Amino acid sequence: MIWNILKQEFKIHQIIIIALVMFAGFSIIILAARFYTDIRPVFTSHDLWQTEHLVISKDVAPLSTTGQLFSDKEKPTFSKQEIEALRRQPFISDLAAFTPSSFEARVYTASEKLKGFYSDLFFESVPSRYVDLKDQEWHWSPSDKYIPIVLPKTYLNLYNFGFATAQNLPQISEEAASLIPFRVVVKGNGKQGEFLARIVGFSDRLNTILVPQEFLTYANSKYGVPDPPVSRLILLTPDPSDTELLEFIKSKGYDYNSEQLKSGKARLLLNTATLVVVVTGLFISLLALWMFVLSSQLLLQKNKTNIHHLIALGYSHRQIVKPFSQLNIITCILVFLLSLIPYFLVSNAYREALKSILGEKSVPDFQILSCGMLLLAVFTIINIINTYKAVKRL
Amino acid sequence: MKIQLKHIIPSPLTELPLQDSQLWRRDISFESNTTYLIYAPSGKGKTSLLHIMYGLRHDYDGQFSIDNDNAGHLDHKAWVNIRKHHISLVPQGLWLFDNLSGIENIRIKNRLTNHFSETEIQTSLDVCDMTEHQHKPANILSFGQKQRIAIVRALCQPFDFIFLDEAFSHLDNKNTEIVFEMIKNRAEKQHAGIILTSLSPTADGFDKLMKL
Repeated sequence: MIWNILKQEFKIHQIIIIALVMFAGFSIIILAARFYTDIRPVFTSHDLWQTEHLVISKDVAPLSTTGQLFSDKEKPTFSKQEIEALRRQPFISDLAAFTPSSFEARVYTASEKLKGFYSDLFFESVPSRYVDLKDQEWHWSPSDKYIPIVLPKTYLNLYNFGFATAQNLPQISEEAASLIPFRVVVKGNGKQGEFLARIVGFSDRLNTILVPQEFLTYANSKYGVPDPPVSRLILLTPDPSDTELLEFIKSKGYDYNSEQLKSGKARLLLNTATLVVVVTGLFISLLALWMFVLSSQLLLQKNKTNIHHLIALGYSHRQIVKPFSQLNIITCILVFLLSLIPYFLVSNAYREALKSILGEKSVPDFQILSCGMLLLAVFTIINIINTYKAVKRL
Repeated sequence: MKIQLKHIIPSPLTELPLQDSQLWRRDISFESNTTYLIYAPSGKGKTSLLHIMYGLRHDYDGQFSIDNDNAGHLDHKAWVNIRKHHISLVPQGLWLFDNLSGIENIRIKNRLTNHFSETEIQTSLDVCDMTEHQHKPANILSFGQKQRIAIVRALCQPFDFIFLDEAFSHLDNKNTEIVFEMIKNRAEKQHAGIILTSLSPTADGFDKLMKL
């Protein structure tokens, strides 16, 4: 009934334009949220090597491999003082040394199909808190049947696409590789030992052959030296692309694994791009909110006399605001329903196009949409409160 | 209900010489179940008085109370309640909604309290000879017809007082009599008071006459 009085000043095209602006802003926000949650796992894909981890080593001096092979001074190892100095840096939250193996080791395939395959190799280990293996225990004790091993993914690629092809050997998937048993023969201190080993994982970011710390502590003391010199360090830092950190490392003449920084940078880029898009969406939405408030106030101003008369009849402010609230709520519901169209169309389209790199949706649609709904609800409440205040001021 | 005025004067009238006014700057009380005629020439503040007592104007000196409650302290909610259940007003400007028909103008008031049934509304319209004009939009009605719509509208609520601001100015004597009779009937049923403002003290049948 009140609406019958107010509607003559009401311009439907105004509300349509506002609804369209709202629709644009809201669609951008929910799509950006969808895209961000979809694409983020690509950059932060679960690797046992976290992106917050940075591996540093010393530059190998040009002469160290030739003339001064035995000069301790030139060896690319870290002294205790150097490690302590690094530990004190504010941008390093934790650090640990890579423990190298100090004995000879040779690995044989223990499988019938890959008979006779062997290689000399080395091991390294870091404290188990740095190794994040899914569903796997990263521990070893002398009573264990197998030593778990983590290899760089490049090793498997090297075998599959280089070695296996050239030697006419079968190609091996990651899953299959983990099923192959290996024999590890270690020698040193005049002793020899034999262990069974199994690959438990591959890492994109790690460039060494990793075994549990317990194994190396045990084997180094038995077949080698108990505390071999440290040549690589692992740092835990909140932001591996922090320039202060990188400059510090460079100034000390250390080397770092730049490959893994790229992922960190890509993630930073993704975060920034998403932020820009969301801010744009929010800005457009705020613009719509402002337009809505403005047009409500215009409608109120045009109906000022009528509203005074309604109040004189005994209508309360709340009753007068009601048709405005209803208009607002209906508009928001329509905008929400309408935004579902681009939301599902666009997200399905890019999911189809990026099928190969995207996994399952990590955040369900209803979660994003209910957050969006919450945003619209806040939007509506702000507008209704504003209208209420404007009616009171009339 | 009792409305008491204590030294009330609207701010715009403070400069005027008002020694002979029986209302401004006096202690006066209005009681329900009584009929008052307040007369004064234009510009003496008849409308202002009614608007102050109806809570539409707050620019006055002095104070007044409704049933011993200081009206200056009443909030919006209290005034909404008073306008719905205790005081009804026929404003001088009538304040009809032009784009609504006569009957819609009445219904918009009646739906606040549902005081009248549709039959009662029709009966009241019939009494003041407005049945055939009720569906016309308010803006094409004559002022006299609008006055009758506004009066029926004002009756569509329970009240202890009804304020009639020159409500019969555009009605002939016969119609004035009929309509006033209808108002008095309604008021008597509710033991309500009537306050009519007028340019001159011509009308008969009032308990009290006051010169503003």
